[in-house]
Amino acid sequence: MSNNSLLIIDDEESACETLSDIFEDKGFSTATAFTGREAIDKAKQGSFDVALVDIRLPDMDGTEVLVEFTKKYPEMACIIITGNASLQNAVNALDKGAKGYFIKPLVMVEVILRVEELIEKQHLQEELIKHRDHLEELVSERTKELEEKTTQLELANTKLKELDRLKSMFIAGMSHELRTPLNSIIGFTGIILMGMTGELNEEQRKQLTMVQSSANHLLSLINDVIDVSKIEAGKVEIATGTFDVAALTWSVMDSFQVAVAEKKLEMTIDAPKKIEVVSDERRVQQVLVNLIANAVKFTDTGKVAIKVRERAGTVEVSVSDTGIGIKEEDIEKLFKAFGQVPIKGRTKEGTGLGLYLSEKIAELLGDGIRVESKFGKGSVFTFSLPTTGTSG
Amino acid sequence: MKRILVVEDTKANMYLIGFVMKENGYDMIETTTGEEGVELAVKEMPDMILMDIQLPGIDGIEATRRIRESKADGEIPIAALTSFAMTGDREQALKAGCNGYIEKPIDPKTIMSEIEKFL
Repeated sequence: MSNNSLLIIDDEESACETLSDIFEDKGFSTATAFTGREAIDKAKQGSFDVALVDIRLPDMDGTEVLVEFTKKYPEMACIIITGNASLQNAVNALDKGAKGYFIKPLVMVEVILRVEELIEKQHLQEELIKHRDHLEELVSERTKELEEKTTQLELANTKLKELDRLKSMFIAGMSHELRTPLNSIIGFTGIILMGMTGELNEEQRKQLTMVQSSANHLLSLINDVIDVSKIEAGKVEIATGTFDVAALTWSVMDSFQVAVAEKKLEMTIDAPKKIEVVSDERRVQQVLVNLIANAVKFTDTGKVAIKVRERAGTVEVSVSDTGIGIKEEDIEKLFKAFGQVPIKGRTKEGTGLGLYLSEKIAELLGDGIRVESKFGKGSVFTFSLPTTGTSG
Repeated sequence: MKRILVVEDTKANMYLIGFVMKENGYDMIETTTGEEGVELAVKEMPDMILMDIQLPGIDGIEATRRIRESKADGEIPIAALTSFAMTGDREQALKAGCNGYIEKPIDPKTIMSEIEKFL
């Protein structure tokens, strides 16, 4: 134990010297004071780990010095030395903050042990404080780091949101620009195919029809992309109005008669004469067109059945088919953007956005699209719309 | 011969509409800006106006509003040319005073019958 310091306060010079010698031998640095005043001065000048305070001093009571020290230097341990053994004195001294109490004549071994014990304790305490301070420092450092990270993340998040908005705006704007020349391609192809510019031979007609169908496909892709970017930017306008969903379903179904006849399928509808709903007619039409087109596309034999039913304040529209069906593990992929499920022996058709969009729209209009399917047997897609409660 | 004012800034679209109209015996007055569209509507008093919505300068909505506000306007039928995905355009066009809308892409098979609905 080096650099441990001890202040010895005793009016007897010889007692001071004895104690000083013993502790210097033990590696302590010591200082001595013969009066209370001198002791207070010395404590002021340098710091001590332990003070040995004689109760009886020429200028004041040692307890006064004890009181002064415990108040001013709480880290310094004070041990009281007295020539007059009484329980009252001991209790009094310990009450006032003394860490030890020895009666003269001193048993040096005991004093040394006690002093060393106190110093050990102080070291441990210092260590503890150091650790605590270090811990606090670490915690505050980490807190600061975390706060900085949070700010950075918040900033990055704001930037990302802005970028995402810009992306959607860019896509919507870009797609709109793409549509204008495409409209001309579709228009002029139509004019030529109508024979308005002169007769076409069979091959010319065949190829121009392909141009037209590719252009139409591209247009629907662009329209879907615009819709997707609007939905993702939260900018889809829902124009709510009252309309007859039965009539709408009939008319959408009619537009598929040619395609159904070409594939030699059967198409049936089971709907009341009239069911009014409060929704966005064009969006409902979009969903219906998509679901029926899918049913026709993925059914090679059998039928497509459409049902419109009123049920507990909603109208349920379902499109079922006897088509290829969907494996259970693929169902989740269905509603993802570009999430087409690869099908053996089939070329990729459509935009890959149809069901994704329909689902998003159906969510905006009601509670999304439900799907039931048996692989190889067929599928049923259902969505619902709120009614006005008047039907006939 | 019926005269139709077409306000459309895309050359190819204009040509397409013009071609179909000529084939069907209509006369076309054409302009690429909303401002001139308003002037021509007042001066020429066409039988009908086809109004594109997305235009440089004032758009088709504003042009329609101005035509409707002008004294010379004898309730000329105005059909807005709108795109399917621009949902808001249709509502705005009707509110500004259009009598209806024709959706792009222009289908040469049906465009004339759509126009005739307004005449």
